[in-house]
Amino acid sequence: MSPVADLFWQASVETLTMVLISGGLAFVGGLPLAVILVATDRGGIRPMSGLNRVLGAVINGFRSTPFIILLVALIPLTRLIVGTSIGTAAAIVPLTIASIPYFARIAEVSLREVDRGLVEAAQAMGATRWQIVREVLVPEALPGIVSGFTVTLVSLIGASAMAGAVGAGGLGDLAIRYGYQRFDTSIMVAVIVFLILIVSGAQTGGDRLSRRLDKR
Amino acid sequence: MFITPNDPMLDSALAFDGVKEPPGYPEETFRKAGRRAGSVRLAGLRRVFETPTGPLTALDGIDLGIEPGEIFGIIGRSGAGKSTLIRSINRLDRPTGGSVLVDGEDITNLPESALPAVRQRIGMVFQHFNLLSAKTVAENVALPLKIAGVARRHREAPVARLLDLVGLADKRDVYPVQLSGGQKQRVGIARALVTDPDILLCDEATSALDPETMLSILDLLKDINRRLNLTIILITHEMTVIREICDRVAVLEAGRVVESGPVWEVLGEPRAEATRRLLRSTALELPEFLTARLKSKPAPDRDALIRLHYAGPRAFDPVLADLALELGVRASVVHGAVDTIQDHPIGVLVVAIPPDAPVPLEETLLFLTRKVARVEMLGHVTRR
Repeated sequence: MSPVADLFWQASVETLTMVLISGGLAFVGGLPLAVILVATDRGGIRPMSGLNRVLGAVINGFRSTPFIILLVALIPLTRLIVGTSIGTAAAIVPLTIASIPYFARIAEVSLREVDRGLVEAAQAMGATRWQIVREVLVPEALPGIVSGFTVTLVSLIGASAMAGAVGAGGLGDLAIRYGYQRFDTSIMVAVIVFLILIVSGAQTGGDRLSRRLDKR
Repeated sequence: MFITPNDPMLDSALAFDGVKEPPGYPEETFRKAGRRAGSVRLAGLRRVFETPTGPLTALDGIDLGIEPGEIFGIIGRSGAGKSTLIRSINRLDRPTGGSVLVDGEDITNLPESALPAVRQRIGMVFQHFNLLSAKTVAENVALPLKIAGVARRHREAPVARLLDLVGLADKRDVYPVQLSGGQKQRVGIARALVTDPDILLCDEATSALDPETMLSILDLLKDINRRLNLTIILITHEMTVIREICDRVAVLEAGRVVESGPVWEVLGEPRAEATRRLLRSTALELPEFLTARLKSKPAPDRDALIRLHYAGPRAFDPVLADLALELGVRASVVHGAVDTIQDHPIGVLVVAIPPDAPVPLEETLLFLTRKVARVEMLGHVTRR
């Protein structure tokens, strides 16, 4: 393999690693948060206005901090978890922490759209709150949740390029170091084309899955 | 009229369409021998909602007894408190006062943790069906069993049995979106019955359906009530529903029961103004050409227009013939209809009394009042 192709391959692997791991963690962390947000809201299945407000405020706090600032601000935490603040593994920490509240808000919208009557029907069957979440809220909101997760992944691809700033590597880093700083236009173009392909691939896959899940 | 626990009819009602219990099937999810339909007692039931504009009384002291095996209808206009009332029976809504007894057990203040057990004995059917769109018909019907912790292999038989009962066995693997409104409600009914409840609550179950489908669903409910010995409590704003299937009815107005009793009595001789108003939509309307000419004052060239309401055995009395023979008043029939509710004939007749009758109008009215359930003076119309 030519050195350029080698660089390209390595950067792609780094980008995909960052996006998929932090995306997966965002899903695992964001969905329960979304469920808690909806359940504890007024008229939810377990109204707790205090918890709801605190959680909402924390989520908004993270959401309103620009990612590039979060990236730097979280360096101490990253060091604590990964042991270093440089590299792909280190970038996963701020990426995950930024995308959890992002995905939580998107999933929250889908969960909120589940017809109140369906929850009531489950309650009338004698369902516990956990059963309502598992059998009604999440399955009924799933097409929207999948769409929302796709959006999260796509924005993660964008954010991962910024993570190049902490030496995370990846395609963004490649484009800046070779394409911008060394005036190598062909690499710049190649990165852009490749990113477009990844994003459209993720979007198409997500749309298809969402449509398959949607039985309405 | 009702099947009581000691009734010999009970055994046949429990036979459940000749379906035999499959071997190895858990007994507790099948209708047990000697199992009786559920009863509900509401005593002094109150529900006050706290709203930003102050407290709102939805239920204002409801006393009702619903007997095992009957179809009990609660009718009222929107906002009368029907929804709150039916939701207090399975504690989807918690009353602020009074008590709810289901099969003698006071559930008014049961803790949240004790509610699933109560609710699994009470099925519920909804106006908008409330089927889960992400689950197939069979999965929807199986859901109450899944929630009750019945193992997957034990869910199949009752689901198949119920889908058969509602006539949708061939739709088991389709999603609700592919069903018509009537089919969706059949699935809703199958789902409500799959845990073999003692009581079925119907929340405007036919209000979203066209008239023909409504009748088929009502037939299904009536059939279920008889075959499964199941108490059905329904709320509706449509008199047709009450008339078609209910044994007894309570009329709700502003959170109070203003009238209750056997359907043929309440509909035949409505005493409360609210009942009459609800009946008006189904009652015989005067034809256009008469209403246009209706005047409030009598005149030598005006006939008096009277609406007579018949109910019960007296519906067969030859009232107009008697009127002619005894008072010499020759009334002419302008408009009329006869209906049957629970095998009781109910009739409405609009008659015109000529201005030149041999006795004063008051006397004619008095005579008619003694003969029929209700007499309504409509006005006077000019002769053509």
